[in-house]
Amino acid sequence: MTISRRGFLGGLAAGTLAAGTAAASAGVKKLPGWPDSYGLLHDTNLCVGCRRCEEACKRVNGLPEPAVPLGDESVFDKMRRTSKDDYTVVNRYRRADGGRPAVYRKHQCMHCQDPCCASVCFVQAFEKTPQGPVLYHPERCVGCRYCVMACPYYALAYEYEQVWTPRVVRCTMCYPRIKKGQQPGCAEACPMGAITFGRRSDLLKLARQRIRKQPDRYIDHIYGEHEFGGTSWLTIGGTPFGELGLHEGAVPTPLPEIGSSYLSVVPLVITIYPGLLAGFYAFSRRREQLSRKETREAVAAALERARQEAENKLQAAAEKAKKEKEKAVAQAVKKAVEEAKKQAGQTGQEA
Amino acid sequence: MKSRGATIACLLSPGLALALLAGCGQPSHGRQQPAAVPAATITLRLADEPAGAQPTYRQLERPAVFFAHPAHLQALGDKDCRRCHAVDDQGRFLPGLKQLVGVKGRRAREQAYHRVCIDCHRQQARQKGKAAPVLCGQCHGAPPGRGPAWSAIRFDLSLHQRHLLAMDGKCERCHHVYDEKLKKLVWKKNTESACRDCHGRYRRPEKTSLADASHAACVGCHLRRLAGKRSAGPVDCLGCHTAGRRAGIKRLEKPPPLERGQAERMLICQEGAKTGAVFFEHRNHETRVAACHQCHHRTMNKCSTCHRRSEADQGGGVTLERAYHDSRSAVSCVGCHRRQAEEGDCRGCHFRLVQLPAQHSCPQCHQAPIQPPSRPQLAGTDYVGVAVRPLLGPLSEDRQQLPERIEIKVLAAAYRPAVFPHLKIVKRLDEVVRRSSLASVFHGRVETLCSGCHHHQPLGARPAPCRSCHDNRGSRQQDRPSLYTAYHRQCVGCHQQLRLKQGCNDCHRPAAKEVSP
Amino acid sequence: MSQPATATGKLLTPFNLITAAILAVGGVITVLRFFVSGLAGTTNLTDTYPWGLWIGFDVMSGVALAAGGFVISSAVYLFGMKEYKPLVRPAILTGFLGYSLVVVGLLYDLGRWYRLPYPFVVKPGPTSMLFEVGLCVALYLTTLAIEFSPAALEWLGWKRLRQLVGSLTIALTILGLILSTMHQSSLGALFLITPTKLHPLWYSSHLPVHFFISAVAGGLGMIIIESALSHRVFHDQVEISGERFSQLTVGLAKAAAVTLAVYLAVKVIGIAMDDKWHWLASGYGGWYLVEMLGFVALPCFLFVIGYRERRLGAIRVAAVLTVLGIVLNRLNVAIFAFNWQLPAAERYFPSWMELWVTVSIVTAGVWIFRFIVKRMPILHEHPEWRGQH
Repeated sequence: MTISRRGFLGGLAAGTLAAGTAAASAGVKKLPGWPDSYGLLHDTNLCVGCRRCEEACKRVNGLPEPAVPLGDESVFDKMRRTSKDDYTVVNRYRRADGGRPAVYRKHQCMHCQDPCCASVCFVQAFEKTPQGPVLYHPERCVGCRYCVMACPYYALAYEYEQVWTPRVVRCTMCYPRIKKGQQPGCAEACPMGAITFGRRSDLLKLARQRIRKQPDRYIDHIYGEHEFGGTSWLTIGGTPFGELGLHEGAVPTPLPEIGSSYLSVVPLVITIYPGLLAGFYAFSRRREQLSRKETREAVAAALERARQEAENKLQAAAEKAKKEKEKAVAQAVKKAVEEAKKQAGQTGQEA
Repeated sequence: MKSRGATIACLLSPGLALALLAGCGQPSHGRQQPAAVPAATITLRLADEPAGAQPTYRQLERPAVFFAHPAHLQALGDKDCRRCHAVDDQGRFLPGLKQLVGVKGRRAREQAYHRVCIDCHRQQARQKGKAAPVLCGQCHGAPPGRGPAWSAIRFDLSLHQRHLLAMDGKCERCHHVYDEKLKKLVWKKNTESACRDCHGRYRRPEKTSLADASHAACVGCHLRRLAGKRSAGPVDCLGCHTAGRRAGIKRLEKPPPLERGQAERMLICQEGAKTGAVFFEHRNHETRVAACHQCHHRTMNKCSTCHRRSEADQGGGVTLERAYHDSRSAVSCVGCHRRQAEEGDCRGCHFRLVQLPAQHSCPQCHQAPIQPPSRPQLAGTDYVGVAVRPLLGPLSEDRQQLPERIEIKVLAAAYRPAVFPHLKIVKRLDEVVRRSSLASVFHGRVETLCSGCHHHQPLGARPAPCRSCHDNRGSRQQDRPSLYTAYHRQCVGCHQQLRLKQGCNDCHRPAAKEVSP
Repeated sequence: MSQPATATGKLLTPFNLITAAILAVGGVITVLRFFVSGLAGTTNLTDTYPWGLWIGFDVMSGVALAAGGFVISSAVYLFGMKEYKPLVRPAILTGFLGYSLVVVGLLYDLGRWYRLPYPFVVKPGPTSMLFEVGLCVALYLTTLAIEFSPAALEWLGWKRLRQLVGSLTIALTILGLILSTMHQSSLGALFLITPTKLHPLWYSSHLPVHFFISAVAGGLGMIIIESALSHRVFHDQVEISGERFSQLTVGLAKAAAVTLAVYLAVKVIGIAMDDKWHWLASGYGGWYLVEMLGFVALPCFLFVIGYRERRLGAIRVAAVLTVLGIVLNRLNVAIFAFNWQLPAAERYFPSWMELWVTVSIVTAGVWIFRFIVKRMPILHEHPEWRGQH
């Protein structure tokens, strides 16, 4: 089958169209977050590990009571992570020693400005709302769990034991409550005010104010302001963030941007490959045709040579035959003349 | 033929790539974490030292050599330090190799080290069959090895006193200054100061480094005493430079302060100052610090010698006001007081106060009358009659005004009202204050105790209840917590710092749960 | 291997019995997984390890090993290497079955498997690599189905349809190569977003390129193994001579050697560029060297020896090592080098039911392969369609 010029150009056009739609819908651009979005400020200098935030979260979301009751310190003996029954957990990152009290931090979905979960979901089941929370749409979710895999903060959990309707579960920043003008359950319940709810821009100013007022007590950095593009949960405190289970030194580039740089190659592949590969096919066919032509010509030349040789041979044989014939004739004539001479000689003697 | 070439290319290309890129991808020295140098290891560095400048190691080709002193002692087996070290005309041994004394110039020093070390190592290998490093990389770039970590010596008052007793009270045995005219070291009475005030980290042409000076003086003296069969301090590295061995040194409980001709109390004031001068109890402060240089951190002079009032180019960029009042410094008055307040029983309130001193506490120090410009400084005895400050009156006089118990029921919902033992806490705070003279200075008035909890209000007035300012939502703009948060942050925050009970039920019992039908 | 059953032969061979038993238990586990206890009761998946053996092996390794289809068909139809034509149909069949079973394995793993078409019909999420993978795999499966259909159509005798499909071969091959490039690399790109979780030796911003090249190598390895096994087991179906087959194997070995060498070089460049040499001096570094040296460098070397000296034994050993190496690489990326900083207690190991399901899927694939090869013109040409596409 050959590819005609028409077919080639048609294929190229189709490829370009496809590439165009792909690029337009790939959404290959930066998401800086909404300007008026809400956030929460977590001050680890104030957190005393009372876990009332966990209790409030369970109450608001209708989850079972905490497995280890509040007040039981043994819950801090090992690090916990979020699960299908715990949308948030408080972990102890340093025991009290001497004059220094213990250090705790609350962990939950960080509601990133450019969320990995939203970027990797192939049915867009995650949505970063203008208010700040990242919402999950269970009516679309297929259950591939790429979001659980991709979250750098290990914040998502999955309902594995549900047979027919498993969902991804995580902190929702109490989106229904925020819409009604209330605070998230954890912020309202924290007795120490270690969680402050408000507009993210206001919270950044507040955090800087606290750091400025007590520079010996706080590390001069707001975690979550820029890390991986920034998060809605901001953390400040006096303990290095790497010791609190956070990624210290994280780059300001959002993680989804790494993926989008690869995705930009896809339209190139769709557009270049058809022409390139059709070219390869054309080259290989042309080579084939050329070799066939050469073979034909070589065969024809060989035949011609053979014919020529045969003709030459025939001619040579014909000439040779002619010469031999002449020679035989001459010899016969010579013989006859000699005979005649001999005969004449004999009669002369007799007379 | 073609396929063979292709084969060779196939096989070699990963190898070539590996080799090329391995060369390029050398991890630089800067990437490796510097290993902690143990106490018994001496770092030998050839320092290029133009006068006054820091040594520039970038010009050196090889990293420093970590010299394991105990290992060498063990290998050489003899106790005579003179094998490697020279002894000066006063009988003090000089640290560093004797073959390098007087050798100047980088190349010459380098070659001298190499000659001494490598020759000895080769000899050891030949005669005793011991493996000793002779190649460049075996010394340069070898790790510092293991051992107890090096820690700095703290020559505090207790150690100083013990030395003083051993020297029969003669300061001149250790302290000296350099006399320019005589061009030698002499002792000038009442000018004694810490070694580090003159001797720096690096050797200079005009004065040796702190390490050299102290090793020569201290270890030399210890060695001499040991030779004379008298008791002496340690002579090995670990004996002084590891915390464990130092802890074994006998301590004097209350060493007497050092006599250097200083006044017991002085008046701190400045020419042309507008604020009241400060009575300063120098003797009292001497007994509370570990060593003089805790305050006299550079020289034994008074603060205003280096720190100027208005010129910030001297005194390390610290003006006189900051030298006295910088609350974040360890050596300023205010800074040291703040650190004291953040320890122990005072921590409950002080840990979360904003770090600048409260303005109403200024007069507690600035008590002396303002000096008119013409009047010279008062001598120490001039104000003996001035009472230092009034101490707390007996608490019972104020008792009628202080509520005994407060029932906090404004937020009682999931929990029953909390009963707050107000008077008990005040009495406890009062007791803590009276035990500390520093605290008594600043909390001479009871109202100052109140402001630990009843904050952001003028002193003296009857304090407003918490709910006057803290509403049920709080204000983010002013970083003011809601009433619920304010109560808990105040109480639990203090308890957390003082390691008291912090459980919810310790203060208020849960409300009786409603029985569901 | 014992004699497999033919249409008229024995049914109760040991092979048939064992594999039937495997499939029977697999069926029970399937019922458990879909109707009784869900993922929690059949797998060891956790919130920290949402992807386990079914993704790491069934999906990722399966796709990589089924890559032989596009490699051989591109070589034959696009680059003009007509002498490999006899290998095209078995490779396409392997590819087609491989991808079909990948989809089956995926269905086991998805929480809501009945919503598999959602990305195409409800709401696509084009920022996601998985969307890319899903779309390309779906299209490629269709392409493979059509590419495989000539064999089925010849067997069924539907001449006109067969004619039509035959005319589409070049276009389908081009499409197949495009789609394969995209989804093989997108499987690697899935992990681009997890630099904090994947060990630095396995993570690279060039993961897609690594996955694509290794897929080509894996595909070639699979073709060598599959063809060697088929030629022994189904030798009554095979048309070409043993000598010709050896020639083809040697040719494949050359291609595999070059591919593996390029793969190794690309990996080395990846490490050098980010100055990751110091990671090699650790436990994971040792494991990485095992994967690279034992399962990439060593088979490359064996392939070279094999084709220089025409030693089929070395070639086949190398092919097995290559295939194991690809599987090992995918499992490392998905499971072993993933979450490498977490303590051992939080790490994942597949449950026996996950392993059994995987084995059942492979067994089912073997059964279907055998069924098709014995009936349809895969290992030989149909006499009426000799010499055509």
